[in-house]
Amino acid sequence: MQKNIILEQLKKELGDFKAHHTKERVGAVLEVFDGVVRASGLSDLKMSEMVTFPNGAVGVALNLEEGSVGIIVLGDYLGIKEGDEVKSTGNILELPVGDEIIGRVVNAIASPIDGRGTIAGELKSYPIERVAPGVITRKSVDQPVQTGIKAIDALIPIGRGQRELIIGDRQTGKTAIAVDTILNQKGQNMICVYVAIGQKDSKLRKIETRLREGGAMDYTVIVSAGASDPAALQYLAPYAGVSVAEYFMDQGKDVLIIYDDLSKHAVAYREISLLLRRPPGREAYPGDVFYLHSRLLERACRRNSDYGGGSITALPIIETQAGDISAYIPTNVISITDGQIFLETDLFYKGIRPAVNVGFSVSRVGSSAQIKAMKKVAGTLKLDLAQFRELEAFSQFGSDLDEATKKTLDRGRRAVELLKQPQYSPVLVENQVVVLYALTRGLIDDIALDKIKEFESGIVDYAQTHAKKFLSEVREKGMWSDEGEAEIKKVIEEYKGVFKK
Amino acid sequence: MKKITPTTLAELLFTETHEKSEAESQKIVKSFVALLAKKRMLEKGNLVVEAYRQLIQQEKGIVEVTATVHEHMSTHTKDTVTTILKKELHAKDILINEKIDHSILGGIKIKYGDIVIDSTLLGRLKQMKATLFK
Ligand SMILES: Nc1ncnc2c1ncn2[C@@H]1O[C@H](COP(=O)(O)OP(=O)(O)OP(=O)(O)O)[C@@H](O)[C@H]1O
Ligand SMILES: [Mg+2]
Repeated sequence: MQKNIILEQLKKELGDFKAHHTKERVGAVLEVFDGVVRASGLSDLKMSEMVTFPNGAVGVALNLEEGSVGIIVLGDYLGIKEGDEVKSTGNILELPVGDEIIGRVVNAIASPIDGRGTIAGELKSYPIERVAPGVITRKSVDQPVQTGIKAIDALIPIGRGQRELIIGDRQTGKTAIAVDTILNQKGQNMICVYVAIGQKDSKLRKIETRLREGGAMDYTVIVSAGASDPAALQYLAPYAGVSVAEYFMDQGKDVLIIYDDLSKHAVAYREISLLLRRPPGREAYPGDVFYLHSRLLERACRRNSDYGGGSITALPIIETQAGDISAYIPTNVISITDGQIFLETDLFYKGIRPAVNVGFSVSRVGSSAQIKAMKKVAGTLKLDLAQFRELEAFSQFGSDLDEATKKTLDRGRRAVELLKQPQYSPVLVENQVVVLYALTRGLIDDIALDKIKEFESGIVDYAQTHAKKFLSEVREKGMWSDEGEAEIKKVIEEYKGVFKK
Repeated sequence: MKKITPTTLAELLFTETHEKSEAESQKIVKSFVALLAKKRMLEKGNLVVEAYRQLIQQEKGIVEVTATVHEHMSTHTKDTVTTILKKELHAKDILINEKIDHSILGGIKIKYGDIVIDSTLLGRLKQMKATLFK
């Protein structure tokens, strides 16, 4: 009885099954390195095509040459020997992605590594390599990404679909800017993907905990290939990350992706290339290292509604050595992105944190995405700061400065003070406008420099209850009206009275 | 500059000796070997010979295949396989290297270049397994 049921079941399952002969391209493993193999044959292989090995491991074609191909092994490369058969599959490597990947930490092939079990729900296959969207599908940037960081939102604004580089030496707060930006996306209709490349597990753990505590894992995915993972996986991680991002963009969503960092990514690629004995070029990087990052960052875009809408904003991070932005990888990535946020060790140690050098930082497309109110105050702020920087150097020599110079210096110092901001304390855009309005209209020129921060938090609190009109106008319409402006002016003066007492 | 590979060397030798008399060819081969020695490429000799052999076969329209079978093929089977492959590969003639492998259980596996046509029992069982465990 039991047996019959099983047999019936098998018959049913095999009802449509028809064995047929197969025709495949097969190569042979020539050399095995650390997570990378070189194989002969496979003359028809495509870039990023998947191959299989006899031990069940899967590989990805990386380097196609006449006579041999370089293949990255995903999985157990120790079980692969010289002479093993390598079979091509005809398919680009695909990752399983679904809605439930949100809140999870996954590796470079989208398998969970957070000990929370498999990813639930329906999964779709997404190719790891996709041609970047063409020009006609794109729309120019006109929606802001609010980072909650005053120095950035005011002076180096980022728009949805933009690629803005975060660049600086080690320990200058690069990751902090990225993490704060993710934390500030709560309720901003944004999915975030944080790609960690070559980072220590302890660092990643800290970031994950931070994001979970801040409620940010409700809309964030972490893709990680750690420092102890093979270079092959570190090479793959950013492409896996952007595939996840594309999954959400294809549903019309706005996505923010962070690559922390692409310097380590380039190093992993250099390691693989040297193993495959590709000729090294400048700084021993292979000649196509530019293409490595351009084809990744080109996948960031804003799609117009005819093509389903949605956007991918990319914040790649690059670590410099002793502030040298003219090294090979930094210059490459600077030229591919739409601007850069430049962080400096000097500023960091002077206590100016975030250590953004606003003079060297630019955002080439973001200002068109800024709300009008912010544009208004930021314009004056930029001017104030530029004049301040010019005079600051001279002022150290002379003591008897004329009134106008003194005033410019005072204003500049206050601006620098106001732009300081601790970690994990994003400021809403309407509150940013309040404090920058007060500053740029000269309303706080008479507040002592060491009292500025105290005044800042005080006026923001006070405005919540006393300047409701101004705040809601800025928040909802993006600009204040004449009545709103009258209100905020009055409220600032009022609060100054309270504050000085 | 093009990279010197056994294939390019074989091509060179092939064009030089093409339609030359026996005596002339002998001389060319001699100086060719001397060149290999001078360039310290003698250890690549075997590879060059192999590439050269393939070129000659290409020229003559012969395709060399490896046929993996469970037991020795009868002359009849060999003829059938040759006829089918001639048509399939547009070849003037087929050169079959027979290889016996009991693990394939039955059927035949043909390999030429980097292409493998698998029509073995083992291959079909594997397909069945893949369907059942999907
Ligand atoms: N705005 C800030 N205010 C105060 N401290 C900060 C600020 N931003 C970053 N820090 C501190 O500075 C240190 C370095 O920050 P972070 O790890 O973000 O830098 P990084 O440039 O990413 O470093 P690494 O090169 O190691 O990746 C951390 O201890 C962090 O807490
Ligand atoms: Mg960091």
